[in-house]
Amino acid sequence: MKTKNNTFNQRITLDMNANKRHQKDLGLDIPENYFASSKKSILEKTINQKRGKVISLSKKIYAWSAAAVVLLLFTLAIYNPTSSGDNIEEDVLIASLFTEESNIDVFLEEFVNNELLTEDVFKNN
Amino acid sequence: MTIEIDFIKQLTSKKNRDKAFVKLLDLYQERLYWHIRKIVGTHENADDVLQNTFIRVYRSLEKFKQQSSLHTWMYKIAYNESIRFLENQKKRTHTSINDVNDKYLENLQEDVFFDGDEIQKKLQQIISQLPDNQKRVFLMKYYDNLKFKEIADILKTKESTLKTHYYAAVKFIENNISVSTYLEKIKVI
Repeated sequence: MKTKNNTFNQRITLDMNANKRHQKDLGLDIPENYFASSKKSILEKTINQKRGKVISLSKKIYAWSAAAVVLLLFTLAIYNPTSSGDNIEEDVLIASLFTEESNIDVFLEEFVNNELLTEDVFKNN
Repeated sequence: MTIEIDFIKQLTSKKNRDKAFVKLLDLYQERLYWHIRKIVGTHENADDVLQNTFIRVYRSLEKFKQQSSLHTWMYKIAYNESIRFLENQKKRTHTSINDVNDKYLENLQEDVFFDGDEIQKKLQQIISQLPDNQKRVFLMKYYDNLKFKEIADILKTKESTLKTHYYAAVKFIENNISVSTYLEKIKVI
């Protein structure tokens, strides 16, 4: 334990002259204030981005959950022979309370186009 | 409780991770930059790889199992990111590893952030002529101050093999560099 601790302390203070060593021996240089700007950029892509993402992800989950509820209720209502017309309206009403109107419109349009307006429907007509 | 263990606890706990990550960045940003720069050549490439390295470190903190020290783990990620970058570059440009070495020198001399004099250019040329395995060990041992045990862990190679590569590299540089006083000055031998 003690050795590990000492090694870590040595590591912290080690390579303090890494810049000079690389510049002097290998002729490698870096732009002025590079490490400060690089640090900022890394933090934006890690800690700060994560904070931003949490909000957007939870919003997405909420929207998708709402859409899933609508889909489930629609499916049950349409394919359930015991379901009455009143129940469908009630189910849609409840589902609509969990999501925004624009989301429902988009979802319904996609659902009707992709799932209900199949080739068979047009053939029968 | 040791400082390192305490620090690792902070890094792996959700509550303290971000604060500890900033400290980790302060500790390792420069040394990993130089480690990467010597593998990928130009400042621009090194900058890309450094960013990717820390993003990967941040995302992997929860998975850090302490099978190796934090120090070795950081270098291992930086090394793997650098190699991944070179392999992608090789695929993109359909070049062999020899071409990549030639390109390294070409890039280096065109790099606005290469400020080497004739001796430094000569040293770079000689190092680039080393076989890959010797070059990696030499750079990690001499410039990154890594121990043979740590290099063995990073490169997944036996320590005895690494020592052979290192001394072969030193011998090669010794035989090839014309300005022997320079080597004496930087104490490679």
